Amino acid sequence: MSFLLECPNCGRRPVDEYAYGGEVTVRPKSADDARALFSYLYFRKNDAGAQREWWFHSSGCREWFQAERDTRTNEVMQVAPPGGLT
Amino acid sequence: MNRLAERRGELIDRGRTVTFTWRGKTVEGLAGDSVASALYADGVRVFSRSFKYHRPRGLLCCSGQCPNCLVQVDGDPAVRACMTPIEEGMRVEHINAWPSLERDALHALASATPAFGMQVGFYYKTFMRPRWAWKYYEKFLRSAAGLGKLDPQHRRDRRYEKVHRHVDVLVIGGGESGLEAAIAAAREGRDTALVEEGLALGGRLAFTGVDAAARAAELAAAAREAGVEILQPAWAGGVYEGNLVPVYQGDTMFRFRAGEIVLATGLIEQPLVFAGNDLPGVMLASGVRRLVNQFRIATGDEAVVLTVDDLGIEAACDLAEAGVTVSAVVDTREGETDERLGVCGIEHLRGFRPVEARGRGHVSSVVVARGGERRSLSTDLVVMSGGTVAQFGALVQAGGSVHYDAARRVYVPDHVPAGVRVAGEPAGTAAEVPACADGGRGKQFVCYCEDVTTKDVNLSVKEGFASLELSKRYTTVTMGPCQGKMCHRNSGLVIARELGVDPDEQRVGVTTARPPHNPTSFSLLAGRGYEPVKRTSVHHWHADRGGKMLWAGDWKRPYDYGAPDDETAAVHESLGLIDVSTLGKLIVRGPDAAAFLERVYPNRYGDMKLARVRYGIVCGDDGSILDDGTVARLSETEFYVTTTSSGAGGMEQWFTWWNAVWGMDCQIVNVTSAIAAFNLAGPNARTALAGLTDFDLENEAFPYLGAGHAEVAGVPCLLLRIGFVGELGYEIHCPAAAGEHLWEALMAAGEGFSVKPFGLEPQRVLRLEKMHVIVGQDTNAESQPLEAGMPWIVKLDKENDWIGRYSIEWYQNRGNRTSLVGFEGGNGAVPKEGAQVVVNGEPVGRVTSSRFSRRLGKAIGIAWVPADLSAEGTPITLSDPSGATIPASVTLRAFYDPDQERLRS
Amino acid sequence: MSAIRDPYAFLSPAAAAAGVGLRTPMERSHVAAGAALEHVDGWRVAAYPANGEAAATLTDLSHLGKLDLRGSAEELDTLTGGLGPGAARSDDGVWTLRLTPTHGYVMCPFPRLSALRDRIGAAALDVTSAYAAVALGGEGRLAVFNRSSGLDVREARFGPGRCMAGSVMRVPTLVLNRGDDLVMLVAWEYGEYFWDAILDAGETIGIARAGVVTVEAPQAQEQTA
Repeated sequence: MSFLLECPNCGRRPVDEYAYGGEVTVRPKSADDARALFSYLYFRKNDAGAQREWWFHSSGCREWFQAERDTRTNEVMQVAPPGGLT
Repeated sequence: MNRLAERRGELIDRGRTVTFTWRGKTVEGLAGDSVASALYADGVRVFSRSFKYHRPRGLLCCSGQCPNCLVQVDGDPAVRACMTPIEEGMRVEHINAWPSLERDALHALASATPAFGMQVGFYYKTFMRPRWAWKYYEKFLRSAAGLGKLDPQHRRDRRYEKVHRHVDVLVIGGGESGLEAAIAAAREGRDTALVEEGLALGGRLAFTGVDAAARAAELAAAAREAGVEILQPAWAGGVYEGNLVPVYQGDTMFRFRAGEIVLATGLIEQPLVFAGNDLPGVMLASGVRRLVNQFRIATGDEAVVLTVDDLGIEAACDLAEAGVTVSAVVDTREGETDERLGVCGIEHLRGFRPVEARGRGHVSSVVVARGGERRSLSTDLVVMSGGTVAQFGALVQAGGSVHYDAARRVYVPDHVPAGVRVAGEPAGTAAEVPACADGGRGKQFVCYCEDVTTKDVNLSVKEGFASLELSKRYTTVTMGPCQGKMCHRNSGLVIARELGVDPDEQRVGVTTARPPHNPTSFSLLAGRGYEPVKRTSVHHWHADRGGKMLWAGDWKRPYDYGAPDDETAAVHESLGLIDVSTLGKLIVRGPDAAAFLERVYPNRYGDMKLARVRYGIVCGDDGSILDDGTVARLSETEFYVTTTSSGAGGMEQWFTWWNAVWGMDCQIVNVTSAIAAFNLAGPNARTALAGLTDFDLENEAFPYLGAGHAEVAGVPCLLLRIGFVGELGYEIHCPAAAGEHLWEALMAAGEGFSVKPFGLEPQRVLRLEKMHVIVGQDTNAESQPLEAGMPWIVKLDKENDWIGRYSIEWYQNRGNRTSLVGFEGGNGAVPKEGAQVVVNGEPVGRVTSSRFSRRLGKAIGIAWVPADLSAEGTPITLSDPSGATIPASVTLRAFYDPDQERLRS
Repeated sequence: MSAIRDPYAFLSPAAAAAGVGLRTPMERSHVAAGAALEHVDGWRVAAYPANGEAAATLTDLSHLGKLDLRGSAEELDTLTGGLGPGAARSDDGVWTLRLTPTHGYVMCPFPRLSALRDRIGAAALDVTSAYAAVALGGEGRLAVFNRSSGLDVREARFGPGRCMAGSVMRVPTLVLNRGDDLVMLVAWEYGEYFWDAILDAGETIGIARAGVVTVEAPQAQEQTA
């Protein structure tokens, strides 16, 4: 894997400069629904297509950002600071 | 052999000879010769033996596409002789023949036995019985297989460089189209580089005559003038994501990142398939023309050209002009004699197809047929002009695709991805390539690399492998060093004929061309060897005094200084000093710092007083233990967090991620690097330290779990009274730049107390005596605090939500199924770490830590046991990997100083 | 409680007493290469002969004062005088770098560090000892850099007064283009590795060790004796 990923602070870099942070998930607000809790903890959508995910620029600015990437082609549609994806 | 007259376009320097050896014999060539051309000029016709059948093979393509001239050069295997310029003193050896190229024992064997007839898929059908004989078969097969020899003792004595390059435009292919594209890009002001694999720029222009050579020179000069960076000879290994293209030149890999890639990879001439088409002396027209035009070698006395299109006619005229006698052009197309041939007096046999090339070890005649008419032509050089195909490997690797154009009978680019452009002739010639005529005896080779014949391919189709992708996996066609360059088209045609269909991708398909484009040595891929290593500020002091510096994650740390038992004893009896600079250290500061910590940790931190330090664990949202460490409060809004050494980076990411999610008014700064840390421990720790500082170390002023700022030996420090090793001790944090100075001062102050530096192994024993858990050793990815023996750390009554809360509440409701407990060995035997806890012989748990404690005189350890066996004093049975059964009993309180009297003194 | 008021004094080599000889992570490499150690501003620094011939030079600058600046984007705008991310400015020997909207650095001669930190206030942390630093100079410096890193340092994209953080010799590095040289900051614990790795990268280009203190080459000293 050598695709280029743009850090909102530092610009385009090869993907091995980053640590992958997984899909953007939504944390349940309580433990009432055990199924929802375990789903949040252990299941991921794993879409073949556009995915919203977290990245950490470990070799660079060491800040977190979010990206929307096509998991089939590694085309990155957008990047943004956390919470900024449109 | 004398060379032909000097002419524009030649690569040789007639004034300079170069001497090298071929199989031990001295050969003289000219500067500019390739290994292949120098040997051919010297009369060599057999260059190698084929992979499976060990048939003699001669030059075929002279352009690095086929496997026939693979040789070993100065110990490097799989070198293409036709692409390698000769150098003074080079030692060239043949490969894949024993004992010699002339007499290869395996050739006889391959022809003799039916099992060794090695038809396609033979390894699925033979060498099965008798089963006991397999180990003999295997030994023989191993030595027979492979191309070339690797010397297992060989040490890399050459430097392999990797150079990163960034360009706006990278042109792959230095033929006419590539040069034109590069010139245009450079003239637009774009950073442009061009890569050409051949021994000269120009592609086909370089070997198709004087006018073509002049055009090549003109383009090359224009490119240089325009500022194009030219890498030649050099080759692109493949196209990777993000327009990454490794370009190999000698011992250097250039890692290019290109804004745009222009593919001008050109065409490859294809062989024709007929019986005996692998005999030495049967060559591609472009190969012969290279020998004649670039190296000025008169190839053959009596040549016959086999052709499917006009390129063969051009080749014949070129050769005739160079003084080679061409007796006939055998043209598969019907029609009248071409006037160009008429002028040269060359017979034009139209409508004839090849039947068989004949000869013993070298071609001596070729049989052709037209309907019922057969002709046998005497010849020592059969020139195949079998049509051309485009090289699409790079386009497909870049994410593009090709489709079959039935009307033109060629594959053409379909999808070309953004950032890539195709220049030049992306399609190849659209000649119709008929099958050879019947009646030829002997093997018809489709794949030279893997010795696959039409019979093999047809058999695979009959057996059900009815497409190129399937047949490939069964016959190994296209899987050799050429990766389909010489055989993809022909194998597709053979399959199509066997199936009775058009050779398009619906039925026949294309294979995927994978990098590298040519054989590549691992050394070139590896480049210079270097491995980042983290060293503390005291590293060399440790090493100088016998510290066994071992890897601990990314760090080098002393395992011990040669006497771990003495080091352990020193800490108990007097004084020891250990370097714990590798600990992760984070500053958490800001108005929301306390609130942040309350949300991250299951324990309480918001109520911490100033100048105190507290142990804590970090859990994941699933309740599992991720890391442990301490938190010291430096002010209302400033906290100093330590983590495990290997967890430092992960905890920084964990903390900053949650901070990004919650958006609290809080900063997290990783200061692991900035601070050295040492643990001075032992009954004399206070006395020794007092000699270096004015800070009041008395127990009332600075009790256990206190934190304070002190100047020690002139160095500003943070002192933490914390006790991983169980004796009175101080963890001393200071700027890394002052680390070695402080360490030396501490050792000097401790001299009167026989201070010993102690390493990781003594530290492990000491912490085990205190039953202190090591995260990642005693815990695993599923361990949660309730079962791991630390329910007291989890403050379920905290009002705020915290990471892992829901999961731990769920675990609490469920109850513990397993428990992390200490144990003492019943008979002093120390079970290995990893030994099982067994009940009635069944494994129910596992030993995670174990040692023999000299201080206590017994074997101690930590293990996971079922919850119903976790009461104090419960007898348990351990099954050691050695086979021994070891009785033990559960201990819940620390083995040593369980009431912490020494720690709190 | 302790006499030291500053909660972060234990981070700061500037708070060390006069007799403490502060050491850079490359000290042993300097000694092994035959350099002398001189005391400058409380640090033990390497003294090498001047070398005007080598295509590239490498100098240990780990003793430079360094401050880490954090805050809101507005605060950083004020602190850096409006520098954009990726930009840096030099003022009378003090370099200010803006890495991201909320993160910047200051690099300065060590004796000036404390005053600068006091002036900036709580937003600044002394990270002098967090980062080892080298200066890669000479005409061949980009050729050496391209053998160490895939970062794009072409003039048009990374000219003088630019800074960026990325991977150099496989470790996270902060790179500053000062015009005549590239200054690179890596974690303190990587200092010795990084020094050795850059020297190795420059082997075929020609790279010489240099010091902030230069001494006469040994032959010259004999002549004047």
